[in-house]
Amino acid sequence: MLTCLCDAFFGEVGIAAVRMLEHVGCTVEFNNAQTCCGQPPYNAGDWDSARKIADHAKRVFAGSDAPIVCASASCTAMLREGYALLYPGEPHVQAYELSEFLLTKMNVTEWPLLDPAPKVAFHRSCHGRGIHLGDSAERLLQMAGVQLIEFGATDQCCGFGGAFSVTHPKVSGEIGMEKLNRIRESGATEIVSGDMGCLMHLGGLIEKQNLMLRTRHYAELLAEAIPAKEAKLATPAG
Amino acid sequence: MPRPPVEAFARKLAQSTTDSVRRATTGASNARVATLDRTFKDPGSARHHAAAIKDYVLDHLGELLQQLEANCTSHGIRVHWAVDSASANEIIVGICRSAAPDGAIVAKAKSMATEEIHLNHHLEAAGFTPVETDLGEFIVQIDHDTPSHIVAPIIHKNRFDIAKSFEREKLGPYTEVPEELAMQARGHLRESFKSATIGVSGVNFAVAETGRLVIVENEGNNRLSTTAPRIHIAVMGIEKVLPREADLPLFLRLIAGSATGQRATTYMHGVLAPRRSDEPDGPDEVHLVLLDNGRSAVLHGDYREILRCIRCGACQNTCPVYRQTSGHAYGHVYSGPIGAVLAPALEGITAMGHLAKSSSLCGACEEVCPVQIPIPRMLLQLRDEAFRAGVARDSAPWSVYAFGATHPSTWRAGLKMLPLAEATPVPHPLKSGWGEFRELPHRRGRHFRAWWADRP
Amino acid sequence: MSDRERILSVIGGSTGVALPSPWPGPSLEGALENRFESELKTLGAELVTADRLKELAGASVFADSDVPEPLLRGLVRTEDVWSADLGITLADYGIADTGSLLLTAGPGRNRLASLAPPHHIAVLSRTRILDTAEAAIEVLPSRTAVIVSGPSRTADIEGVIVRGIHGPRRLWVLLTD
Repeated sequence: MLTCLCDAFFGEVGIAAVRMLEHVGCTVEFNNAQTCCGQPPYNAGDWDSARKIADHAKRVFAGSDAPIVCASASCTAMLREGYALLYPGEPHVQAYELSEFLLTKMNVTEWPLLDPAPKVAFHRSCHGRGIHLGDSAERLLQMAGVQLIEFGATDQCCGFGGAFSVTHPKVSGEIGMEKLNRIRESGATEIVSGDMGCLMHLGGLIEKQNLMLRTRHYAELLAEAIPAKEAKLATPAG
Repeated sequence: MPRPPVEAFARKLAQSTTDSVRRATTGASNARVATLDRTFKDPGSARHHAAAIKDYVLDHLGELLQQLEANCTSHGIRVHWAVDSASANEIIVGICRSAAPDGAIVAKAKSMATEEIHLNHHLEAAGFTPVETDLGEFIVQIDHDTPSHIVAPIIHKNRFDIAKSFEREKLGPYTEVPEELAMQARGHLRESFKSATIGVSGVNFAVAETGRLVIVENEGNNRLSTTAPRIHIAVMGIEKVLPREADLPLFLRLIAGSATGQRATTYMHGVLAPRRSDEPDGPDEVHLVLLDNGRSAVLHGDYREILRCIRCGACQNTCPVYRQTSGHAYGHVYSGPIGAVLAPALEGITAMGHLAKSSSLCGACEEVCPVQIPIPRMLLQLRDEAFRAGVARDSAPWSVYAFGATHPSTWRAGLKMLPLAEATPVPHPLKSGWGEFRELPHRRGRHFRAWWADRP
Repeated sequence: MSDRERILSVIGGSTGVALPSPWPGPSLEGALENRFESELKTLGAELVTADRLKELAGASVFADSDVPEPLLRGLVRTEDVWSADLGITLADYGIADTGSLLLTAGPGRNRLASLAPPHHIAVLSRTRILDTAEAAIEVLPSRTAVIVSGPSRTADIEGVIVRGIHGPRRLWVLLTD
């Protein structure tokens, strides 16, 4: 699943995710009829609209029994936990967050090294809590030689919260600034995370305030480490 | 669309208030982690065990309350049942009037249940003088304020605020030193303990097996209020029952660790009976008021697990929204994550359902809750319930979004138009809500679908 | 219908959820008396020996009637617990895990003696130091009781800890054989 944010703004993250999966030997399918997992209306309480979108998503992915992989803990949580609430009694959707899939299903234990080794601050998105993600993304980054700068608040909320960011702009912004200040105090100049919602929000604050920080999805770093000729050899299926 | 109350409140907050709240909540969160790691080899399994005991209590609540009542009664504790706030106030005022028909001083220990029913207001109307004896609640009372946290009532105030209040009330020479302020309060309140006819407290845990009422505190005002006066009235939410005395140590460790980062609260008072004929002191009468006030109805719905709550406040300390806004932003006696569920559960979705949206759904509350209450799941369910009841609907047209998201070609076309939407200065609530403090997102790099289509 | 009947009828019956056994509690290593003393210190309380009581000459003391007379020799006793400088009581048990004391109500035992005066001495037999709160709960008699862990304190003003806000500001434990 591409996710609507990556579809709209962050195509590079989707491309990086495909590269990473092919690097470990997966065949990636992408059904062009996919749109959104339904999380925005679900979070807003409009579960009828959410179900309409979820029904469409289920139909799109029903065509294959390959596991669904998203470069987003938030969309993964929606497919697993959210759909469980929307469709009580139905079996859980087989969806995985990208790093979770690589570590637990593909048993990845090494990754090509990034040279020079980047030093970044890692922001753990809150949706990782719901799906018990733990430190899987951080471990992959460390396999690639990335140094993670400790700033003491990696799993503190960034303040995005979906529509919350728009209905509570001041509170959302203050929460985000508190996180950014902690990161700046640590000396980090790059923030890496697994959720583009978080990075879109933090990035928006950074840009408005002209702060010296850049943001990237962890997949973008890890894909960079994959040797270029390997990327050219990969062919899509379907 | 009007601003959500929590957001509106945050915009008016003084920096000093935000600083006080942030300092208190961060300190308490850190202390909690350090202490629970010291106290339990595996804090997670201790919480899991506590949640299981509480689920048993909720499932057997009727029989446990009757067992509690029988055991209390056999020791001379008089048990009263109050279906709602009006009934509870009537019962308590009635007990007070029997004890002191012409009015009297009532020594009050800290109790969220008594805040919930606005007891002080009813006591005053009936000619009694309630005096809050917990230092924080005393300061709330003299300021005509309300508590902003369920454990630490005045985290929104600093020493300068309190110094001014004490000077205004003529409690002693002006000072900003916490120790000196506290001693002024001590001297002032001592008379109340001695002259009060009635003492009112809450109950942290009531043991069904023995009828023992357990109250925890650090200051000593609770013990004083429930020992020196002739009458002790204990007000308890019906869900506060524990099955066995053997369950107390686990819950005492969890509440002390989660609330204040202590391994044990300074005092654990286990009231079994009024003064016995061979005891030199203690109250002549002990009354237990069992307060329902909407709790029994919650038992059978989606928010049932909220009744596991032991009122430790850990969720408030860890909540990023609470930390930026303080408890008063929620407009209810119960605030923060616990309040966002309990307030609508008790008062109804129309009155309080909007609180569910004043959350980023980060889930930190569930992670720290000593009884593993799934607050984020309940907030989502509250949002669903609120939407269907037409409460706090935001202006985003989700049905239009759903159309786009179920028609792939419309969706793909719409995405192509996004840059236009960004560029044109068309006002839209989504855009202005976002854009007040942030730049809009920009597309970075390639389109995924085009890249995929072009691959050999 | 009475409030009681209404409440119980809404609550309804159980669906048979099972009750887990009580939480087992920690097992302590090392001598209980040493652990008790070090935990007491962490709480801001301390052990005291009988000969130090001489230093109290001049202080007014409220003592429970079951406190051994020899300990009180030379002290000025008062019957007014509210004006006493010091309260002396027995403690039934100590809890090593947290440096706590179990005090139970009973004949000759004033509940206020360990609470109203600004100083409190608890007399405890060293043979009655238990390891954990679990053990203390097992020996709780059928009386009102209090478990005391350190002197009275508050942190309501800016999180600054102040001792002796309402209860005693100093607590000593006198161990006897």
